[in-house]
Amino acid sequence: MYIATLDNVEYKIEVKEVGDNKYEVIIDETPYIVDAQLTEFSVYSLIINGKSYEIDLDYKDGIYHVYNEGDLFKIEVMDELKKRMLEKRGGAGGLEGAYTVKSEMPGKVVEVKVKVDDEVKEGDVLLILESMKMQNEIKSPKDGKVTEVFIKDGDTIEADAKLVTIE
Amino acid sequence: MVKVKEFKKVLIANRGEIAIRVARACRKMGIETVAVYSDADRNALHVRYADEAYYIGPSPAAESYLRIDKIVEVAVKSGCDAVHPGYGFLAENSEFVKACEEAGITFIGPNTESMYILGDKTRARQKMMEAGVPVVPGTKDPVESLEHALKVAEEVGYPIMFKASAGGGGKGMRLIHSPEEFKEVYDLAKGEALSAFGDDRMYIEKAIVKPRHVEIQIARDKYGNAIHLFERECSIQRRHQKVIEESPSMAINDEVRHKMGEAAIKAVAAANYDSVGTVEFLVDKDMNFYFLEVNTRLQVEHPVTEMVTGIDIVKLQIEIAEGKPIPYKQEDIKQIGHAIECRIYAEDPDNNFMPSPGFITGLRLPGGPGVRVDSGIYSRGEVPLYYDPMIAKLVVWDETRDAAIARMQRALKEFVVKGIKTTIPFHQKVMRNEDFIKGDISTEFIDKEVLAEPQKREGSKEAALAAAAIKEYLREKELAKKLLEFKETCSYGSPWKESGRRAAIFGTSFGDIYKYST
Repeated sequence: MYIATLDNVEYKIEVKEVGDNKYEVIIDETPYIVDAQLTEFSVYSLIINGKSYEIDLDYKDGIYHVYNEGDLFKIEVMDELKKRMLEKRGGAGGLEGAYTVKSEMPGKVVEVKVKVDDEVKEGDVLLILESMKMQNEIKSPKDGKVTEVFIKDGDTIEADAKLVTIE
Repeated sequence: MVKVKEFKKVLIANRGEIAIRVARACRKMGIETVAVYSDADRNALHVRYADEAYYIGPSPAAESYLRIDKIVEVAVKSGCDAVHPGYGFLAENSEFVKACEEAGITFIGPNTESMYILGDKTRARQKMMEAGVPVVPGTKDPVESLEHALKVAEEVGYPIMFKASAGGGGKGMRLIHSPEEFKEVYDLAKGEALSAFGDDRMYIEKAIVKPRHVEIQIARDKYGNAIHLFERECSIQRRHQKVIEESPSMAINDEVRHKMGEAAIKAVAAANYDSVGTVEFLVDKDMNFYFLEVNTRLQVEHPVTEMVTGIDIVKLQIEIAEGKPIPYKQEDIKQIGHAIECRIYAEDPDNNFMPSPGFITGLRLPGGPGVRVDSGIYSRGEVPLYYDPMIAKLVVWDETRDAAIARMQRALKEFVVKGIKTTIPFHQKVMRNEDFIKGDISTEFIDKEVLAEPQKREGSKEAALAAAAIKEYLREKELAKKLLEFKETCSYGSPWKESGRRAAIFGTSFGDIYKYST
């Protein structure tokens, strides 16, 4: 049994494999027979009760980014037991302890605004990253102290590169 | 006396979709093409499309596509008669035009004199007033006192914009509706300007409420023949950047359309312009139009006009540069049906339009009747982080606006780009917006209406949930399988045993594996 969270609403979902690429999916007690085929790249063809859906699926940081008809559904899917256990421990992940800010895109570091030992507040600008002629402010996701800076002015970085650690 | 010089070889001083668009026109005309490229663009499509290609420097544009010296040097060495600048980069740079002329190479665009006059907003405004083309009423001169300000405001007519002389980009502006309001905020506004810009000079301009951005495509040759190719509606903008354009515009009727066309021709004639170009206007709700600026180049959105008129604007531009007269009369130009263009950017509309350069891992382009895609991307190609994020232009044509919107919706649905995020989902939302469908739009439409309010989703929640759950199920299964394999291979040890076991599991012999892998 999974707990899927979409727009802060939880759905109980059960998945049973009933044949080649065929699944019985029960969403909050409503069963669906789903024919799911991975067709190209990350594009799935789903047939549910004869209706055909094209679903584009990315998995990023524990969240499924699901596109259908151009609409984005951000869905967290977690085993029920794991979810309940994490809740008892006080939330999944969160921003407790040391947190390393990573770049969401490749780009060129125009200016690093912080140095080690600086105190920062949530929303403070950590650095300015230029990509595709646009300058983007990368902000701190939490209050804390800068413990490590991985980049310097003029660096060209890849997506997912570590930028700054805040503790 | 104008000399006609037919081009044999043209250098295209640009990259991406526009470099390919220009090369297509050249190829059709039997003109050889020369591409230039930076480090980041060695694998770009425009390099392969051209007949010849030369390296001009490192990836940043300032060290390659903006290097006048290198580009002119390549043009001379490769024996080009002319250079096409595309849009952006050096397209409106009079230094570049001069450098080309000195090297004996024709710049495919207007003469330097007209570029100088029309390329500058203040000079162009002055020239338009002389030529009797309507401009936004007001004055750029700072007001001297409250009395003076009230007098100017009365002449211009309320509502007015009270703008800081030192301001820009929408900063230091106030919308004022009446003399009473003006008296109240006069000191306040000046104080704000002083603290923001260290300069409290302010001027008055008529406020155009809910303005529409409508532009006229024109062409004028070296003999003074001029035509206009009707209008493009470009009100759909995000942060002052056009994102969707269409022709015809819903904002004007045939009478105003005709008047705007005449005004646009008058505007470029006043500067002795000799190329294709665009005269931009603001249109208010009463269909009054005011000159904004002239773009002395080929526009990004030119395909919209090509779709409704059937005229190849790039070909026309090249022919004018060759010294040929425009082969059409005004009455030959017809505006048929309706065309819409969506600019597809490598940006994430679900994450504040964050740039999304990178590798394209999969690509499916839309097709079918009335659909045109101008792009420089391909599957497995890279969208470099150094240049403009526009990766494709999706253009559709149909008999009516409603039909064109429906066609755009289906084309957007067909368009799949994987590996990077694009603005395709954003365009789908606009195409479904009721005000857009009604044609009730202004330049503030996107920022104030589409992005300000959460949009209703059209996609299926159930299908999305099912897909995510199935994927999670498969991911767990895959993880369990890997764990098992790891245990087995570690305990068995022998690679031969391992591959034998695999063959047994997958039902293939070694011979089969060999066969399939060739």
